[in-house]
Amino acid sequence: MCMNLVKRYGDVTALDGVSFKVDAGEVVGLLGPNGSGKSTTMKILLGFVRPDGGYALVDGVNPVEDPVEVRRRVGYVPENIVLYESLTPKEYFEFVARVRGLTREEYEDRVVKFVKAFEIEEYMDVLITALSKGSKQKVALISALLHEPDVLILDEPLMGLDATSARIFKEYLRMRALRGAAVLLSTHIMEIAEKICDRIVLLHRGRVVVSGSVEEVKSGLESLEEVLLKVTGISGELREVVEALS
Amino acid sequence: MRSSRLLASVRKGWTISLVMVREAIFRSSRERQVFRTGKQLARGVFMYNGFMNVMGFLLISALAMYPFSIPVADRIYGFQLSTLGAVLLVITMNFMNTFYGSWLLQNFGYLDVLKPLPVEDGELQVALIIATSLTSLWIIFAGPVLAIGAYASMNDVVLSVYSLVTVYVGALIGAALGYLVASMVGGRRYVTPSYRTALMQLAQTLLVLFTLTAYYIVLSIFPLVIRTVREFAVSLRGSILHTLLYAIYPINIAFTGGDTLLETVQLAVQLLWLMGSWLFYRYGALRFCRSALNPKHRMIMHPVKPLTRSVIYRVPASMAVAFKDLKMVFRDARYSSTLLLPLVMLIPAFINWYGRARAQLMILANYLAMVEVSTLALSLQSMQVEGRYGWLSLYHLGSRRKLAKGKLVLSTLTAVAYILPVSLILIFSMDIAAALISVSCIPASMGASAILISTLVKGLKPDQPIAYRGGYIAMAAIPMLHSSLSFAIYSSGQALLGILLGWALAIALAILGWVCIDKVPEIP
Repeated sequence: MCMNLVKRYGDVTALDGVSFKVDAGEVVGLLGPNGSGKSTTMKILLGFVRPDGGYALVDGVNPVEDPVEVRRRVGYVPENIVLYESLTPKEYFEFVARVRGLTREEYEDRVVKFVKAFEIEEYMDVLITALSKGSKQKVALISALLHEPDVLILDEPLMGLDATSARIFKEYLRMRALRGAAVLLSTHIMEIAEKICDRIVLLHRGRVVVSGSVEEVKSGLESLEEVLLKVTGISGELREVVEALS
Repeated sequence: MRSSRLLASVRKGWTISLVMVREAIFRSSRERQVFRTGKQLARGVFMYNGFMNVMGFLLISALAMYPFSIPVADRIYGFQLSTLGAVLLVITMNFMNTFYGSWLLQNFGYLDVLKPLPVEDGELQVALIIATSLTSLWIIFAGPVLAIGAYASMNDVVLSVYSLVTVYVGALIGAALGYLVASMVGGRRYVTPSYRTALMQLAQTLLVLFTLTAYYIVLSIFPLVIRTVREFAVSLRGSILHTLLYAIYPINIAFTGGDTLLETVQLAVQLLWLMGSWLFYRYGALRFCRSALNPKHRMIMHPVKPLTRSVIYRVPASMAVAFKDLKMVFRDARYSSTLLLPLVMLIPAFINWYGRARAQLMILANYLAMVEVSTLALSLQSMQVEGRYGWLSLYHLGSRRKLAKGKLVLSTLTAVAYILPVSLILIFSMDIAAALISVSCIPASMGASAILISTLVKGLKPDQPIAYRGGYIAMAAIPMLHSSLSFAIYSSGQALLGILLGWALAIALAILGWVCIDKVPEIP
């Protein structure tokens, strides 16, 4: 839950009173153009950044007061993934499992399942550095899901994934939500948000401009993309911009 | 409960540290395929650590040999001295290692991977300390080497174990201190220029201290090594090894008491070491520290590359320029210092050669002369860096005089840190006259630094290169002459004259320095 979050970087106000809530069993899409404050919101939720005003609660824990506990409960995939590239996926998963304190049985049971689902069995003993971008993304996703968290914070999680894996992941998210997990998902691909999100929170210039179910947000418009263009105020100028480019 | 939690933290820290070390090794071996920063980090960490490993191992071996090489009656003293030296060595070197390593790990994405994971601060601290200590392999071997040395010389298992344990405790203390400083640096996102400069100066001081200490220890140990090897060769008389050894003519002369050759070799080693120390200092340590601590350009220049370049490229280039047009030598301090400073440093080495009746004292004179020159060079370097990166413009609203005095205090502290231990040793060995001369190096060094700094500050403009040219060489030569001459006179039996000359020169330099620094113009 975010309550009236404010964040300033020097003279720039990244968040200006952002409030929204993600309930258990919900997939909420955090949408908005570049620089609208999506990543900053996620960073505040994980305790990477301190808000200048307002507060956040993740599973009842304030990330400013106890960031480590929040990270214990959350599965997070950052927009720009960073991995120890000298390890193989197998070693990396073992490392994450050890840091997260999983038992051997828990680890083996879960890793086999995910590895099979995302089809990276054949790369398990290849160094991460040699993997494609999509495969690295899969490694990051699996490592975020390994401890089966009740809260998932995902920043562009489908970036670079092939169609099959993307579909599997979307289905998995829906399934986790049905089992009571709270999912906050940021994406630039509006079709994905339309398909898997229960609710949408649309940010623009650090403020929540639209919030509600997908149908409420669309409110008669054809797609979420149209909504985004409308709220950012460039739908009318779009044709002129494209013509200028051509 | 508390101990089990601590154990869990250490275990987690150990897991993380192993992965970080592996990642660093991997990055260093990937060469061109890595990201620029990764490559530089790996090179920085591992070339630096390679250098530290070699230096550390050589020094610890020398210390382990020390009690073995002195008469039986003095071995307890020798043992204590070598253990103390070893502990100080591991504290200092592991401090640098952890400081540099942790700082880099924090700044080059090694910790980004851990961000989403539940890692407590304490666990991260353990991981960083272990990771950086693991890359300093020599410390692992330092304990056994010293323990074996202690056992061989003292024939006492308890003392041997004692030296083993103290070395590792020292290493841990050094690592903890290094981490503390690294956290202070890494944890502050916006470090003020003056703070950064002060840190750079600290790092430089420590690195130069290594060079000087190594120089001093090698010179002190060298005759003992030769004597030990010679005794060993004599004990082999009649054996095949003996025949082989004697077959090589120069070694034959050296080992069988041909003192002329022995002393020539000693002198050659001293000269080479002096030149090497300076080249390392000028092109390795300074550049390396400046790069490591300057976030504006995160180029991690390890000491080997610039050193090699200076030997292969710069020195011949400077000489070519010098032969073509002698004026060119003084045009840029890079040429002049490269070419001339090692030559200037030959003065005390030659005085040492002629005054071999008290060779140890002259080694001390060398040491102090180098300290004085290094102090000057540090002043110069920090001013140069500030000028080059425009930091001086930040001070324009303040006071130039204040800046000059601040720099002077830092330079003086450096000189005091070097010279005071030497003076104390001399006082304890009841050589009060030598102690008095050594203390005079502090005002001498301070005065020479003040002259240099005030000259620089007066002529300094942020958009112009600093004009330091020939004055630098002159300033370097004055303190060299100060310590070399006063010690030379003292070693010839004229103690009072040595003290008087030392202090007269020191006071003259201090007064001149004071006048110069007070003449630094204020900005209206």
